[in-house]
Amino acid sequence: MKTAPSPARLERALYARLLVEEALHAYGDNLDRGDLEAWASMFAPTSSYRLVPRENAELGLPIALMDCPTKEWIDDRATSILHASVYSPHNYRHLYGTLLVRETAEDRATAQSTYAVYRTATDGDTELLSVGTVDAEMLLGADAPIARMTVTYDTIRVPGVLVFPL
Amino acid sequence: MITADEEMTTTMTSPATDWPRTDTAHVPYSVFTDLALFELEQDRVFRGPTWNYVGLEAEVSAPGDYLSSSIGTTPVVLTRDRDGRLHVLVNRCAHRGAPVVREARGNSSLLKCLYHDWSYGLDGRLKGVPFRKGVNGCPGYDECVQLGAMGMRPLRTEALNGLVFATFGDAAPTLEDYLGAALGHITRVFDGRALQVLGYLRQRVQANWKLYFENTKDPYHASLLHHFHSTFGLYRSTMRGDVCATGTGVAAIVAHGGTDEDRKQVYENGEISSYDKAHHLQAPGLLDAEWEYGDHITTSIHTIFPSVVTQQIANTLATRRLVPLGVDSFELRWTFVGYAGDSAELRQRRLHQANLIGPSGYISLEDTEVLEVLQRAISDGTDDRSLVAMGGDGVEVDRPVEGLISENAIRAFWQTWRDLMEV
Repeated sequence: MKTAPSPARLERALYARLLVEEALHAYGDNLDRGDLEAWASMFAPTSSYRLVPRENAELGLPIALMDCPTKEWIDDRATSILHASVYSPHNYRHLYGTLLVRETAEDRATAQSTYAVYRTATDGDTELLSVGTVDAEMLLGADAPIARMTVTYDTIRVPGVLVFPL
Repeated sequence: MITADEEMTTTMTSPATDWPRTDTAHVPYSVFTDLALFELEQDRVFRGPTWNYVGLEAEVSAPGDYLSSSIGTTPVVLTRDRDGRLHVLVNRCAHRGAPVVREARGNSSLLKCLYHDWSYGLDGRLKGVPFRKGVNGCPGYDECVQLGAMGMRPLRTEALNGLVFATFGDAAPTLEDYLGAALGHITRVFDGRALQVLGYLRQRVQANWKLYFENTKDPYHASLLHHFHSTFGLYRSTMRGDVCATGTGVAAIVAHGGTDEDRKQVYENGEISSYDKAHHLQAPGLLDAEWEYGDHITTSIHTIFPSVVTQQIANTLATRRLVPLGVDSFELRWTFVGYAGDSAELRQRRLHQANLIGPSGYISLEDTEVLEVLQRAISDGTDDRSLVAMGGDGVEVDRPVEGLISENAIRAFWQTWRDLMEV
């Protein structure tokens, strides 16, 4: 067995993990409540969001399903969905798998997890919409903690339309 | 009096008992829900005298490259052989029906079936059969079995500026003749410059595949369903544009943007229309398209019946391959491209403007939505029919007709479908 870290080191690592877990929980919850403004507000002034099919990631191809290279693009995605898109009401439900957190600097950490998102339609049926991975860079303790969020989805044949970000 | 035979034919393969060929303004909804018609379409449309898009030359750029694809529900594979020639083969082993190619793409000098290791050249010819001559007292294949004449069936194949098509119809016209009056719009975009694949997006739509053609041959809906359009000067129904349909079910819809000054106005306002209040886009990049063709065409959509929609929308270039999965289900496979010589800046524009289209696209997502709810609304076995009479009830083909409030291209599509289906 590896030597356990010192108490101070362990405390820091656990605290970082706690902050990341809370942020990830809030992230999924905002989307599940359809609160796109809250979702957008989690992104730092310098940040990006990309939603990419696994196929393109593996082939090294740059096209994304949603590509928001700056905070402004993230805000525009939220605005467009809220005010310019026509779609049937539905709910998401995010489930996250085991989370891996790595501190990269004093106030930064990377976060990786698997996810599943289920979608419930107005008729009350729930279907699996998407599974894949999230890979984020977080600013620990910041009000807007997401510096980068990359969501890579395995379910490359998207069922129907994908309105909200994942 | 209808004989028993005639009655069988009517109920099994006809969408309606009273749909005269002279009625080009109505379509019975059963055409979208009848399973027997869907199965007949495989034979009469997809394996008929139609050209079907299977992929891009850029997807099989090196000798030995292969790409899995399909024509209707028939699996095919596109290959490039050692001499650089393209082949489209039915992807089925001549032995007992297994698929020879199971991966999406790859490179090999031989295509080998997993079941009994029968192997084929990239041109589909059978090259190897294990134990052909027998072994250990087993006699192998009898000499009268003509293994030498067997192979993966090759289809008549033509490429147009990087787009590869194949047909089961040996009597079909040439690809260029098939594309007819829409050809010039297609070759304006796919103009012979080498293409580069930027990526793929896929979606499954719970609707009949023909609803997608109705939707993309319909400029009438564009500014009404897609609220996003009205902001960006990308598309307004009052803009100058024309619709050109052919007798082969192909159509091109083209919309001209305003002058640079008009676009600057729209850009500066940056409003999204909504019923309540005005909203603004924070990032200008989405609106910031380049006029790369020396003209002011913002939208050029080519619906190449029965398999693909190719397009230029602002600086996004794509092929949308339509894959029928069942009577009420199809897949759309979007292949995004640029030109090999694109500047880094133009390539970046293409990537960012891709937010407009695809399964989450600002101006595409409503199409998926409307088709899925529509399919459900017509699935009650009704004998109701639609009205397709915007702009008249006749069918104009082979010449561009000005004006974007039109359902002419839809009427032309149904005429072609009825000819092929003999209904």
